[in-house]
Amino acid sequence: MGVKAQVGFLPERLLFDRWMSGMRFLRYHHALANLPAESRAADCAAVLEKVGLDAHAGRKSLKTYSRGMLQRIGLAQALLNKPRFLFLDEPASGVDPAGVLLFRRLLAEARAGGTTIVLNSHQLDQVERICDRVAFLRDGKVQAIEVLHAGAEAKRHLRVRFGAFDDLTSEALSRLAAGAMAELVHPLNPAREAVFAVSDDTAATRLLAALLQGGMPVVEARSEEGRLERLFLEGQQAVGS
Amino acid sequence: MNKEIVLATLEQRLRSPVRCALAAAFVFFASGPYLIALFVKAMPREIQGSPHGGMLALVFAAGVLGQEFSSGAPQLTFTRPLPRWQWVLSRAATCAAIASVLAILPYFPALLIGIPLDQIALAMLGQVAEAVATTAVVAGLSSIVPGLTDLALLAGANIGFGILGLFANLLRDDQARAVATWLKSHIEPWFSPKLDLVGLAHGASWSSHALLVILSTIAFWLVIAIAMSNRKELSYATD
Amino acid sequence: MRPTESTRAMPLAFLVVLGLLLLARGATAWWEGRHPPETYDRVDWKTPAEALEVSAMHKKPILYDFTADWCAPCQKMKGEVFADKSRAAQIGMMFVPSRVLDRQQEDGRNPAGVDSLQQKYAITSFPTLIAVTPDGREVGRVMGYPGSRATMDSLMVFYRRSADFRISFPDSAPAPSLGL
Repeated sequence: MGVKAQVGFLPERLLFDRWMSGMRFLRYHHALANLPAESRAADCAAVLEKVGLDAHAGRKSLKTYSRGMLQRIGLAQALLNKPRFLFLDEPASGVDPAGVLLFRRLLAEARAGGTTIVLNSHQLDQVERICDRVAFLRDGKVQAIEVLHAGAEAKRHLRVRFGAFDDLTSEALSRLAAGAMAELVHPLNPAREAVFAVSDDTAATRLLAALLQGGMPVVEARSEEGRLERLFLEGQQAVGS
Repeated sequence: MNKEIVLATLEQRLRSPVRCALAAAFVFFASGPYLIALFVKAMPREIQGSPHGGMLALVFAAGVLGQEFSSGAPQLTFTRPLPRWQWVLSRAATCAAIASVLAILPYFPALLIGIPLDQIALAMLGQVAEAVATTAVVAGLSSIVPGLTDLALLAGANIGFGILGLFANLLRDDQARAVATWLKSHIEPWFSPKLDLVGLAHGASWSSHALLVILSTIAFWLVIAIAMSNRKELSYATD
Repeated sequence: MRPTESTRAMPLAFLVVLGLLLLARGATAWWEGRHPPETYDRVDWKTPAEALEVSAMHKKPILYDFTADWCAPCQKMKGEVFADKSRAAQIGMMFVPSRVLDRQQEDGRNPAGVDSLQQKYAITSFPTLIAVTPDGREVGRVMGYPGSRATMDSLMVFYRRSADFRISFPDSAPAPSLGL
């Protein structure tokens, strides 16, 4: 029970007591979480505002809520007891883009406040942006855990696009990268893009400097995205499914 | 017992127009004989036996746990630091309380027609006991089957007892009749608890056994309700 | 609550209470089997003297209930036959009921009328129900308690036997129904 006092949960299927109004629902959970009655109204109003719902919505019954609103109030009740552990199951599903941004901000806030967030989602691009570590599960078992970038300190892939150049070859790139203590991970493709692995921001700067000094016409450099997707598919192939 | 759960259950139950309408109907019909006696001199002025205590319990307690499990709504409630037995008891107690308060209403007109106060008080007590006991039975059944199936089960059980009663009176074979009587008298109290206290005012002596039947039935079904609720997995991952 | 307790635990106290209540239920069932509690008697019992008067006036047979408080089958019959609304009503329509209560065990002796009646009808055990015509002839008796249905069946047979005599019904009572 001590565990439950420190946990907030947002389920995937939003099966709430539909007859309650938004505020009533929050007050109910506030009370069940054994939070003090004196601050109840204020706390609930605050968290309602935090998730982007106004007081009018708070008065309407949950029956009338749209999917996005339900998702928001779901997150609200999960945040009520300022939990140490936050479990979110598909939190952004059905939420409009503004809401998704809001959620990201709220989660970042929670994380900054020391909350450990366990997020379950199929939206790999969102996951990639928010998470520090990712676990792939198959049949209920953890298949792999990847540590993703957490800012400047983390390893990442850099996708660099080049302009037309006669001496533009994968071998040359590979040599230059090795000299900058980076690694050519994907050789040049027809779109004149190559992917390098760098260990942090400093290494990225070194690499780009090395490429430019080596005469390579660097046109564009960006962090590789869709990495999780690749990893996921790779994992699937590995199991032979 | 948890105050928040009690309030939520109270609000939820009273918001149902069907339940309230049925309850009003039962209260009205139970008070009929006394209201009529107010105006019609020939009506006998005595307490009539009435099943409204148990009926009111049925009205409010039907699906008290089963419907919740079917809808999945308690999944968030169960993430809170609240023991499930408190949730079960709070819900059941609230239904029992509503039913009990309504169960004593039909006897107020009886006060006006000169029925002795002790008989009225005993009748009220008896109805409350039946209301509470029936709530426990329904809660227990509700924890086992989904939705409102508990009502169907109880209806089926009562039909079964009716049939047993017929057998007990009409079968030719003495032994078969004895068996039917024995079955009915031993199984029926578990599903259809009754307590006649008005007889006490007429000179019957107190039966501890009758009281213990009611109390043990209540305890039994509530323990079942808690045990089943404790085991319940609301995870939808297993669908 | 200690923080490590599960929310899904069954408090031991509940199981203990349930166990105790079930035991008590069984114990009281056994006890009250031997010492049945007095039940609400719906029959309008008259004293033997009154019964003779009423019987003569209305030409209704008398039903004597020879009984004792300590006798368990007597209490059972009381609870199942005399406390039952419809059965009590039937008895009241067919007979003039009169209870003859034996107090030998409790008081050491009986009121005079009781002894003489018991001797007159040669009572050897309780309960004994005896149906007697208005002019004093016994038309049947039930010894012991064979169950409510058997008792009522027998009483109705006695009533029909006593119908050889002219019987007048009180104006407001309808004819008794045959069959339960």
